[in-house]
Amino acid sequence: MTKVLTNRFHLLGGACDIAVYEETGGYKALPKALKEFKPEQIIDEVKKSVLRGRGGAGFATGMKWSFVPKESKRPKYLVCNADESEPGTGKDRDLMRYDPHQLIEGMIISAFAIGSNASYIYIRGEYWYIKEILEKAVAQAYAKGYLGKNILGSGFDHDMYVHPGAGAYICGEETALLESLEGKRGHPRLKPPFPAVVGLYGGPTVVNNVETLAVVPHVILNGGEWYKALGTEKSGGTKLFTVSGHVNKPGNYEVPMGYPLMSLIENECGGMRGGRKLKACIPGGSSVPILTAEECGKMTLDYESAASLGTMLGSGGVIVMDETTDIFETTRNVTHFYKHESCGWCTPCREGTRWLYKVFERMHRYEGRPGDVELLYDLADKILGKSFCALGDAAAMPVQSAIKKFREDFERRIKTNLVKIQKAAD
Amino acid sequence: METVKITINGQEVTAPKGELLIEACEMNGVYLPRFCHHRGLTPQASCRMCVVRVDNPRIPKLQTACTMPVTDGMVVTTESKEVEETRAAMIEFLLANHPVDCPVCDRAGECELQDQTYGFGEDRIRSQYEDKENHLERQISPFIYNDPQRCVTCKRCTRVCEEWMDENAITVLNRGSATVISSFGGWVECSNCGNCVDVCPTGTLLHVPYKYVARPWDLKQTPTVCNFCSDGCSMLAGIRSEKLIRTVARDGRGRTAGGINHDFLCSLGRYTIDFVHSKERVDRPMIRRGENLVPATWDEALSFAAKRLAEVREKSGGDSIGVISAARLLNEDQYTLRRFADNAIGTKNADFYHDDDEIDLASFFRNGAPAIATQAHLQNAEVVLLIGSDPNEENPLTAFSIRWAVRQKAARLFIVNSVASRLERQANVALRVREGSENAILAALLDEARIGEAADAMGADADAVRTIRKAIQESSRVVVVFGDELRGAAVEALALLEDVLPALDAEAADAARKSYIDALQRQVKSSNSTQKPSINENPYTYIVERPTLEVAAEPARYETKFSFVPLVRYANTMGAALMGMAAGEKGGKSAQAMIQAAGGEIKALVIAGEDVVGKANGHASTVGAQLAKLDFLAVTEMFLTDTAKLADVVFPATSFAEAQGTQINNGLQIQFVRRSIPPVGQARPDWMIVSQLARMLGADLGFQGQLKNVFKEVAATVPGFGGLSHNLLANEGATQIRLAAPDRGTINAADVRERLAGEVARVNRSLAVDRDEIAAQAGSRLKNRYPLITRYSEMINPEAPATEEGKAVPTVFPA
Repeated sequence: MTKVLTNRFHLLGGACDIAVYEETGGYKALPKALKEFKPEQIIDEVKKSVLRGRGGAGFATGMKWSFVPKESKRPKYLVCNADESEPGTGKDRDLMRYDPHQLIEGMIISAFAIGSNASYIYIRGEYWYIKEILEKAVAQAYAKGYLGKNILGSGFDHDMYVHPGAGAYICGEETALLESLEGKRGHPRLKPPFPAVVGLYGGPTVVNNVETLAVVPHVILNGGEWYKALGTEKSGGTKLFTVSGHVNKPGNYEVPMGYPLMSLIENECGGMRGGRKLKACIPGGSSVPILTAEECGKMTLDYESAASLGTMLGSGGVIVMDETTDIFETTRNVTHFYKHESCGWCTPCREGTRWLYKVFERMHRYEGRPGDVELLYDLADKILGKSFCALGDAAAMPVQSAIKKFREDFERRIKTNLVKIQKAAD
Repeated sequence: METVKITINGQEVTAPKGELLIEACEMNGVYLPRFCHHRGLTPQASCRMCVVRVDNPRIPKLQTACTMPVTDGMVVTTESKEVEETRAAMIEFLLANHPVDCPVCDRAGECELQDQTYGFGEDRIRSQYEDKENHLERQISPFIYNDPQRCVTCKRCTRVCEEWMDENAITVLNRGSATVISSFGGWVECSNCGNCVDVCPTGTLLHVPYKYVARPWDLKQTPTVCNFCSDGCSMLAGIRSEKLIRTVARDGRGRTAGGINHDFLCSLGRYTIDFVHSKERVDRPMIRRGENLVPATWDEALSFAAKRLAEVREKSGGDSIGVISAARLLNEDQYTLRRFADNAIGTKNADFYHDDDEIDLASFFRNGAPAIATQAHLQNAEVVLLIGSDPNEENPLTAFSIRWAVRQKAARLFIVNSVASRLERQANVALRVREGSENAILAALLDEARIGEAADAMGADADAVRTIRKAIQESSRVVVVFGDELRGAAVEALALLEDVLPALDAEAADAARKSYIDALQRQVKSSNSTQKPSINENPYTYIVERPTLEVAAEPARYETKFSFVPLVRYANTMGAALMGMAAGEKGGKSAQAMIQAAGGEIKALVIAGEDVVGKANGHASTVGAQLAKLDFLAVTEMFLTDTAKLADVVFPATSFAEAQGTQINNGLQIQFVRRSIPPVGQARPDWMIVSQLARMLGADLGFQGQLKNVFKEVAATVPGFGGLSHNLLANEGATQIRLAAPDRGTINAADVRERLAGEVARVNRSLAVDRDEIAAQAGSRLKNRYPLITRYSEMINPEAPATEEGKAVPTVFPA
């Protein structure tokens, strides 16, 4: 299988040094992009590659860049969303700590494509040690002339800053991230205007995920068609998946788009732990609908297959659960997370997640009442699609899908049902 | 106004272009429920109550109507199962952790959460098995109570605090479901305007004086006009059992007094009404018997006063009697007092009381009235020039309008002032000039060649002065707001501005305006390595095309390039001047001169509603001694003030809540003041007391005891009041008085310029004193005038450390 992003992972951080990175083929794409390409050509190349945003929503990257107006009164910005806080996801961490220059090179090329002279890496506060790695790497890039004034004699200036977040999930939402970056409370912004028009400090801004930006040098070096050919027709290239849960070898794996989910679990991850049966799997981080074992068999890792099964590829956090797992408890855990991380801006998310969690807590104590499962489903329904940003949806979707697919785990928590179950056991 | 056609629930209607959908629906009779939306605030879209289905352009999700500008051909559904279910769900969510303690909540009855639950909520409850998360209620300022559990987190209060008042005193704490409205430190340090309480849709924020006092449905609400400063805000006076309980600009049901201030009111109008029912009110007439003032009947007191006044008149002539009125009294009072002086007593000495800290209206109106700007004009100005005064402290509505102009309309604000002001944060250029040198800015505006000289006098940067002059030159709508610091020739010179800096032609003005907004949008303020905007950044730098948040109902018309807001000190100074209660019209003495001449030329005084002793600050004993020399002193008052204590007869007068009549604000707008409660005790309105006294003196003023007759005569005789009547004003609201514009031919421009130059030169001459000491003295003037309300000035400009002991502070400008 072709590895694109994880080529230097076996060095275990050796590539953090710019010399090693250059030896292993780094900073080849940047001179090529600056000298042989015009900004529009880079955008075209990325469009050809069918690269889709790796942060969760899967929006076409080339399309996003082309929304940035060419002429702008205010400075344009590129922001790298490294606020990786989705439970079950850890791919960006490895991309940044094993190969920071790959990201930096990708960011410089992307900034050149949209005509931005300043970029920010907004990194999750808990990744404080990676922030140091990135800062060192940025300093090295400045020293080598890859950043700063007149990069490689091309006349293109670019400055890069690393900015840590303060530990809020909501700041992974692109507009809340911008607010936080400006030094304000992390609340999502009203859209429209979208960040591509009015973003950071009022300037047109592109916000991209770490993985998306890290792909860009490879697209420039090998061409968009090459990258597209790695994956499927509509989902180009490869993608990193963080597999966690009941598998023998959890970790980050790069597989081409369209790779079967079961193959990832069986081959790369060494199968289910203890030889137990698969019960359920969350394919894209905690906020996407859950899959049953049967559905997992049909699933291939690309956006279309995910959509056809009613779930999403999200940020690529594959959470595998075996037959011993109580889906009620995992859903309760997820709900607690969203209740804790809701920013409090809008009514359905703030009040809805609190109420959801209160019902979950009661059922957790086996004090559920008849109708509670329906109540949970209805509350989630009232949050879904009504909240200000996607966090409300993210809180509601796992609950609804879990109830739909694993209703028996929820029914057991109803007090009267428990009595029946115990009587039957006696 | 440009309109578009939209379809609401299958019915085609029209709406103003660019209007928010929620407002467009309301205009067409479809009310959408809302908590966070407020017309005067930036859109928030957080409560999700106003969701609608937009079918054209087709949008997959339900949309919030409070953030959607209407476009032509828009098709909207506001009544359908999904929309109604969503609204009901939002109400259900909000009530899930709400204490539902309506029986003990002061907001109950005018609570938007209550109303909308009845209107749009479900009749069942599903959250009864969950424990509620409680928060303790507490008082967060002397006037504001906070009960966080009732909060629906609409953030109207924090937005009001930031956008209207620029105080940022209250804010949101914590995250998610733990979100509460509070402040840093738990105690709110602010001007206590109370606007946050008024806009609160629930009982989260409450007025402390109104707590547990009345239920809203027991209140009779009368629209009336505030009496505390010259802005003249309308307000609703809430009456229960014939007692004034509270005043608000807008109650929880959205009922407003509908005045020039819309939903805005300041701490003075809101929290200083408790004097009306004070136990210390003089509730019956009093006559001096020896050392003491003893209660008497009205007949006794009136005949006593008439007898004594007649005696004085007989002995020393009519001109030995003076009449002094308070500038807060209504037009009808002022006019009757004037008639009383003319017809009943026959004296030329009649004046409204003012110190040298009142605007020189005589100079201002000398050659006719320059265009006066109303609040609507101010809010739509392109350039606002503030000279002297601090509207934040003295005229809060004017300060609000200035902030509005800057924040919402990208106006340019220039300040020339000797005291610190919070408005400086919004200013493009804020010149902190030497005390007493404000006149020099007029010299600089009138004559470019004098900029250097004027800048020297003000101690300001000549380039900054040049910037101001250039900006004014290239704008087409300039509002000059000035305080009493401008004196003499400078006030007269204001009328010359129109000729010296004439309006550019429309194209050039447009181009200049566009280039300014363009520059504003390009502007990126930088601090350290990253480029961060300041908190008070003009939102215009981000987005220009905001949905309309027009406070003014219709755009104000500007007839001239320059218009003016004279920040007079008292509620009806303008009225008093127009009613002829100003000295000098007939060659009489001013109020100050009358007090000076007491015992000499002046033998008796009739003082209506003014505490001349208490207002004399440093030399109260001198004024007291002067009054003691009088043969006779009659006072109409609400309280036994220091002046009333010296009087021979005291008549109990009504307060603003008990009086009816008209009042003129600093925008020259006449407003109708309604009587909201019956008189306290035996109090009578001043006009009635005086006309009864006149009758006793043998002169019938001809009003037949009818207030309407007074105003009828005013309308018939006073220029500019023709066609006005109480009925008309009660229906129309604020109406601007049209006075004759200045006759350019009669202005002796050369003379004005010469005198102005002389004043600048005088300031320059007296500059021998050390500059640091002048700077240290700045701000002392405001502090002397208002010892209690200088908090912000001190915060911005902390007092200079005390100089060495015994060192005399040099006198900067000899009087």
